[in-house]
Amino acid sequence: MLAPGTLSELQNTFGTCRHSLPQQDLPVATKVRDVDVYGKNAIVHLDRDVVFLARFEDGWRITAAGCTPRQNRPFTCTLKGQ
Amino acid sequence: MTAQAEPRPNDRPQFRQWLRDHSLSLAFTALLMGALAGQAITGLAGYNERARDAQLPALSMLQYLTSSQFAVDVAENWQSEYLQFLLYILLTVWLIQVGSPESKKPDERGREAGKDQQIGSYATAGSPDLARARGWRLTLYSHSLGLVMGLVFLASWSAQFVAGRSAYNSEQIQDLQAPLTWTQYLQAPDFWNRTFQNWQSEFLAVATMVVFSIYLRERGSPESKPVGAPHESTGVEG
Repeated sequence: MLAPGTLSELQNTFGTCRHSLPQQDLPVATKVRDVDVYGKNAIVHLDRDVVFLARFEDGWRITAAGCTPRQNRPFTCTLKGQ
Repeated sequence: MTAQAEPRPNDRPQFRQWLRDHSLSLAFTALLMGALAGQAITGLAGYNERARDAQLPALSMLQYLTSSQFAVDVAENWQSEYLQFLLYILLTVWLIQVGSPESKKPDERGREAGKDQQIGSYATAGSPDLARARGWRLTLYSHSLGLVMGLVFLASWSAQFVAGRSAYNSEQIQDLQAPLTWTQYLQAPDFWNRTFQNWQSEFLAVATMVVFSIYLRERGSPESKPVGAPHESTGVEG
């Protein structure tokens, strides 16, 4: 589910994915409000979160999650790659 | 075992003549194909290098050729070329550069008389049929070159806008930034920077050609005055 760079960053910082991912305190989102896709990149606005994705050979994978917008600056994200 | 059919006696010389008669367009078409191939190969390599650095998926050549990144890089160059030709075609009707073979003579400024343009009753046996037409058909044909250049310019500039927004937003998302709406991209530095950087080079090329050709020569080229032509002579070709 996670993009290679994001998985690598998570594991290097917090340990194995199985144990560290639940500890990231990501918002629990249940509804998709909006989806924007450009080439192999997408941003999905959920009811309680914003998620960034990229399409790899084996499908879409999350590059960043737990993201909050900032005025005129990149989103700040709880989970992201390097 | 069947005998191979012999080429008809006149085929080869006729084909060679056809090649000679169309050598200019053929040469530039071949150069265009070569340059596009080079752009595709180097563009793909650059894109995939950045993707690898960001641990994001790389593209195949087919995927890159159908991507907005490739489309905007091609369209931004094409729109400026056609704008250059459009402005060059239109402005040379009225604007003069004394001494340049790229300019008309000062007393020829403007749309010129029907006799000089070989239209209507002044059309010759070899004139295009539409040169003998009247009304809107003659008007349309009389401006067909500028109209087509203008339409292709608008189409390729629109393609730059659409593909440019897609390519820009793809990078925005990679950088964890919000994509731009159509209105926002129309005002974005990315769109106008791409536009102006291409326009400046086209206008430089025309200005340079107009001025250089006053004083410099290239023997045998219709883009140059004859080697011995005075610097002050205007609208003469070598």
